[in-house]
Amino acid sequence: MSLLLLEMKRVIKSRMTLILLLIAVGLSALISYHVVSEAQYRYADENGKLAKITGTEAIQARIEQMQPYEGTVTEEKLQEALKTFQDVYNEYGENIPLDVYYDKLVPNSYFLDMISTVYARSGNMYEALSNLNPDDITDFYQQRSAILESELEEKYPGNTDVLQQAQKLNEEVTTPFLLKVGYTNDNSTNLGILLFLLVLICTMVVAPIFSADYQNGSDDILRCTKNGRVKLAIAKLCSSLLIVLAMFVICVLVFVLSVNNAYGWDSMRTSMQMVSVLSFAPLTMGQGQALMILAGLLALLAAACFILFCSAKCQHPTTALIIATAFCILPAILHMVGQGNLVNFLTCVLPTGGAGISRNFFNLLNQSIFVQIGPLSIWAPYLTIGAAIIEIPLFFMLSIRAYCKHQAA
Amino acid sequence: MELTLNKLTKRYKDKMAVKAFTATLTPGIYGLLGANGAGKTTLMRMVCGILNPTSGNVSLDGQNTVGMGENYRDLLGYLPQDFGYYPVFTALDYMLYVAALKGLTTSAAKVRANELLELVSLQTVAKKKVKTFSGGMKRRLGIAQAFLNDPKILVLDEPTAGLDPKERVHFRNLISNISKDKIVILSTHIVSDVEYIADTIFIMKDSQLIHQGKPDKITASINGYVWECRTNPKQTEQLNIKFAVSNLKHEGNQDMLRIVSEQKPCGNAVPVEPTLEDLYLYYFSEEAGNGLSGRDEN
Repeated sequence: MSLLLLEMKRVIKSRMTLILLLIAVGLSALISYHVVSEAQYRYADENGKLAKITGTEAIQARIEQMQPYEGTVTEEKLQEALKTFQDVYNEYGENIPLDVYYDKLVPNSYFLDMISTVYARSGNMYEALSNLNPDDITDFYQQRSAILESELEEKYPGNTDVLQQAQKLNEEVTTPFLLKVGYTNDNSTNLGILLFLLVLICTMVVAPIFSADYQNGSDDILRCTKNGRVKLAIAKLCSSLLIVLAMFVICVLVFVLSVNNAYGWDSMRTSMQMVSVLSFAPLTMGQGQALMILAGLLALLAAACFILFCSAKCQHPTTALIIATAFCILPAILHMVGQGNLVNFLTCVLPTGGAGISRNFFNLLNQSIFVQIGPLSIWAPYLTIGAAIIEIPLFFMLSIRAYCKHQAA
Repeated sequence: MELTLNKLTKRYKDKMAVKAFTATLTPGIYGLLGANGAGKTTLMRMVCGILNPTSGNVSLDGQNTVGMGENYRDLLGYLPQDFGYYPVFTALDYMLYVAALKGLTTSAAKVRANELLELVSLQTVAKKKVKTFSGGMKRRLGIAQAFLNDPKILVLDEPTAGLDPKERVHFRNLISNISKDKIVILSTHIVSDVEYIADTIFIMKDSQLIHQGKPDKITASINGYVWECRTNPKQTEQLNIKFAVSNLKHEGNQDMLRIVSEQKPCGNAVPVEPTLEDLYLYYFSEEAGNGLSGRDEN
């Protein structure tokens, strides 16, 4: 215990570590502020011109506007929304006055998106919706399931395993869906950015843990001592992980407390399907956020263990840092250069997969991405979390081994 | 207690660093002399277990030290030639950190750390950061940490580098005081560090052990090869080029030279009692024309 505390003291006392930790907390505060302050509420003023408010005022205005529409999303509610749209469209066509648009269509946008996804999948959305008969959308939830199945069959032809997994999860989705306005998908995008930045900062904190000792020769004395091999390696690893864990908890708490408070905790009860109607994840927004944070935490610990392994292998901290940073941004690069099963596999299993910036975990929960590994089809969120759970102890042990085997230069 | 170095060899890709070093060490002080690049540091690292030999092994009382693991390391105290430290630590922080690694309890560590800092005259700066220390102060801190666990095997690589003469004397006396029942291996370029306290001298040249023995016995091996003579400045210049001059003293308009040479260097040269420094020069002189064969006794 004493060695662990001394090692933590040593790491935290480093000026670079302190600066990085402060930057992390600062970034989380900045991103939280941005998420709240950049919230917008648009409306038509008394002159019929477009007006906009931002910040907490905008959030409150939006919540008040949507209050009559909140609650369970029944087929009747969907019919009502469609009828409202058709009345407006029949009167104005596509040249809808601003006040009508913001008063009548925007509050129904959730429902109109859902209807068009299930019933009006091709062509111009307005035209398709206008041609629908409200009496034909009374089987919304059954139709949704059917559309989901046909999408999966198209994407993974002949793969009954994928279909079965999706169906099993879909059966657990609570219907009718629940809508509580507040927290948005954009907020999750910003949380994804924060998680990615935290992983990046973590790489800079832990990259020198072993390799700096090699570089300045201080490990010569340390590894000659009774506890200077396995026990020291464990102390270094545990202290690094505890420090980055504390950084993560503080930063995520800052974000969650400020953003969820501003947008309303009640909105966390909204069904994930209000973000993507074909999502088969049986989760609420709150559960989705929690899983995203968990995936981010596992990615952080997996990345930290991997970088510590690099640090234990590399003679110079710069080399370890370069390798670590490359692995952090590799998932984003892979997405840019290609698609397909291999890219999906790599982005899921890389240590930083759970904190990707180009495809964050919240989005992954709402997508039907299955990775094929031989005869197995694994839903991407499962693979991401599973890989991280395996990588944490794997790279932890490999780091200990690499440190103990290191030879004085 | 018997530490056996059995044909220790370390080869790198294009260089032989240590070749078949064999010696048996019992409690006492062992001075390891050699020029830069002779293999002293590599040898010491292998003894400490932080560098694996290419072949050969180190055993303690018949047990391979690799297999002993932390039990062997528990007996070790090591001061490397280049003393790496954590800049953010104070001297006391560093001592407590190393003490924890050496298995001392927190309370014992505090007592021992303060004792040793006082012994090496660093107590007044115990709470100052190591990065503010001079080279000599860092060296003293390095010496102090080596003693933390009262080691039975003390390996000190150039321990007095950067210390002033008073500190070197203090260090010499310290080693002499604690060396009873301990094996102390001390490498140095400063011959006087070991001349008066070492029980055995090892001389390494070009990765090999070329001579070992008690200081008076090994210096006796060059009896008749050390000369003193008086010369004029012009002769001094010529002799300086041709022979290994271990000492040159100006005395008025003449110079008193001390020369290491198998042949008599000049007419009025008289043989004198060799010292360890003469022996060092005998083995490590670069001038083949000095008449030195650089005999290998082993």
